[in-house]
Amino acid sequence: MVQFNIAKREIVLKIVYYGPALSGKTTNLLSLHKFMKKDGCGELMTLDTQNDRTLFFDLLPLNIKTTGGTQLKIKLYTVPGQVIHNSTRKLVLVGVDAIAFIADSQLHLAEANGESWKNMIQNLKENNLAPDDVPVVLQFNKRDLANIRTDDQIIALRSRQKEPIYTAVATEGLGVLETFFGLLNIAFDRLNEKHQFTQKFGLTKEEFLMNVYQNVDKKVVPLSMAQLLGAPPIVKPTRKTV
Amino acid sequence: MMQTQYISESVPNLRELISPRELSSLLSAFTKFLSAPVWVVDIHGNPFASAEDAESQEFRKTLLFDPPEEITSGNERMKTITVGNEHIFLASLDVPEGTAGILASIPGLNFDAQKLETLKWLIESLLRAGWKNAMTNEMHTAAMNVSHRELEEQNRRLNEMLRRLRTLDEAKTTFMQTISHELKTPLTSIIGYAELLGEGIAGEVNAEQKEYINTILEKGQTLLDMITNVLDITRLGTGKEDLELNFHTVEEIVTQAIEATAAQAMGKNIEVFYQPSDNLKPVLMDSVRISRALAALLSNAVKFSPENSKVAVKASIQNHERLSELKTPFDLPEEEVLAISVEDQGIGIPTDELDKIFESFYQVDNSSTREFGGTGLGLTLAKNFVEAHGGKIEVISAPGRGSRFTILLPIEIRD
Repeated sequence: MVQFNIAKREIVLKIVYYGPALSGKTTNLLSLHKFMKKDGCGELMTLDTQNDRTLFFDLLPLNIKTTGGTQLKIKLYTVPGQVIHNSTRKLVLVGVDAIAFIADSQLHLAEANGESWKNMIQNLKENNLAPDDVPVVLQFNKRDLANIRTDDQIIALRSRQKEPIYTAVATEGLGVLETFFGLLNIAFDRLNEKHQFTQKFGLTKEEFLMNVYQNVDKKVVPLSMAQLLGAPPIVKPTRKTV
Repeated sequence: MMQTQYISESVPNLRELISPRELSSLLSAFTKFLSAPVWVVDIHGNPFASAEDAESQEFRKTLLFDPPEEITSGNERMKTITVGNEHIFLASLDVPEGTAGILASIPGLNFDAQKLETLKWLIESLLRAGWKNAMTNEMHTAAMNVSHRELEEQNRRLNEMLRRLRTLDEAKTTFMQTISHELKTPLTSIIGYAELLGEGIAGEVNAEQKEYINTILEKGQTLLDMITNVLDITRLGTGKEDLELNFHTVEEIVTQAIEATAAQAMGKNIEVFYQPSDNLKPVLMDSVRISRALAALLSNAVKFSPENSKVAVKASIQNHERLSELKTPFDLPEEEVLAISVEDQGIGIPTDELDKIFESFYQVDNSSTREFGGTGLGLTLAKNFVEAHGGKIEVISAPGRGSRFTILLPIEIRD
């Protein structure tokens, strides 16, 4: 749940990257860590394991001061995707404000994506959170692999789903920032409706997003705000992995 | 003051490492997991996490400032004490600047020491220098142990449930077999003796007697079929575990169904022919049930078709709109299905009856029972068998223009 301190003009948001095992949740955070300027971004708390699987959670804290003087703390968490770690996933979802669901584009993992989605819905309910009230974006990662959902299928899915859908190759950093900003975009509207940030802090959505954007290292990612907030692109990998 | 073994003035530094609200939400999750309220307290006895009510807060403060003898003795980092009727778990945590105290009140005598140990390790790791050192091996071991224990407990409950279900299932099967035997045995006698009478074993029979005997045989067979069908319907479970799934060729299924209805078709000089497409492959299904479903459709087609007409059976693999509901964004909207259709040139079905024809014992027109016979269970059975495979039956029909029934099965296709 959003934490804010009017006296200190501080807002703390909790964002969780959810999804099946090995879909690219930690890779998304690693990419974001690379893209953000160091003064606005804390250390990425992650445990390197031998097989690159998240055992507990990863945490990337972003500390952003807005032009209006509001201190924004955005805490990005990932969950372990393996089925066995459900108690940890439920724990990490406590008080979540927004979720980026990272799915694997490979066709043979459609069922794993579906099971993880249902698991997320279940865990939200068990944490007394109405799934419809939590802002969610979907990211179809691994667009560089073979035997994946086609671009046309993604476009067709966009017309059916209410959640914004992004594509990504997280290992190349493609689509990662777009997903993140897309989530912030819808999250602000939902949270502002509930908590009246604009009224209490004088913080508009434009200022919120612009200030996060200003912490993006343009030398690493030369994308404009319009590009990050525009219609989700269909990313094209620089190379296809067979 | 003896309680300084457990709490320190440096504890306020903890507030900068992790916000009270954040710790509160984390501790409430731990509380649920531990099934016991948990507090982290500072030197003033104020809990970091919010206690349930002022009375509980006061109780905890009293405990800290006027601790019973048991707390002050020894130098243990973790211990349990009994205060009145309550069992209290106390732990001291080492953080760089000092120690903090954890209280967990465990109602009743039973508590899981291992769970408490796990809780202690988890919180200790989280509080140790903020989050940076949170990823300790002990913490992960503890987290894994928790997950494994939960999994073991869940497995134990599931195994017990499975054992009970198997016992029930065996009882049900025995009952079904008994009923089947008890109902069918006298019928077999009725049909058998009627056949013998018809063959003149008890003396020559005249035309009128022959007619009566044929009626007994026909109705006896109808009753036998009905019992078989009803038992099949009740025997069908909700999942695939009741199906005997193996790979079969479509030709095998169709041939069985056509043979089952051959006599009926021949009696009306109706030609039944099979048109397979080139893309057919072996399919995973319960061949007995699908061939019976198809035989039911064929039997209906022949029954309601005029003499000297044709009934076509066609089979192909098609891309079809997903037969089951889309439950997540990741369900693919289309899937490959096996489509087997039965087309006749018969009387057709009125549009307003199409929804009802699959209901048990339903006949389109009561008069058709007398003219065409039947029990009204064939289509119900066919629908149940097909739906047990996750499939469905589609119908296109119009009065006077024949009917087309299509079985659609979403089945794994093997090359």
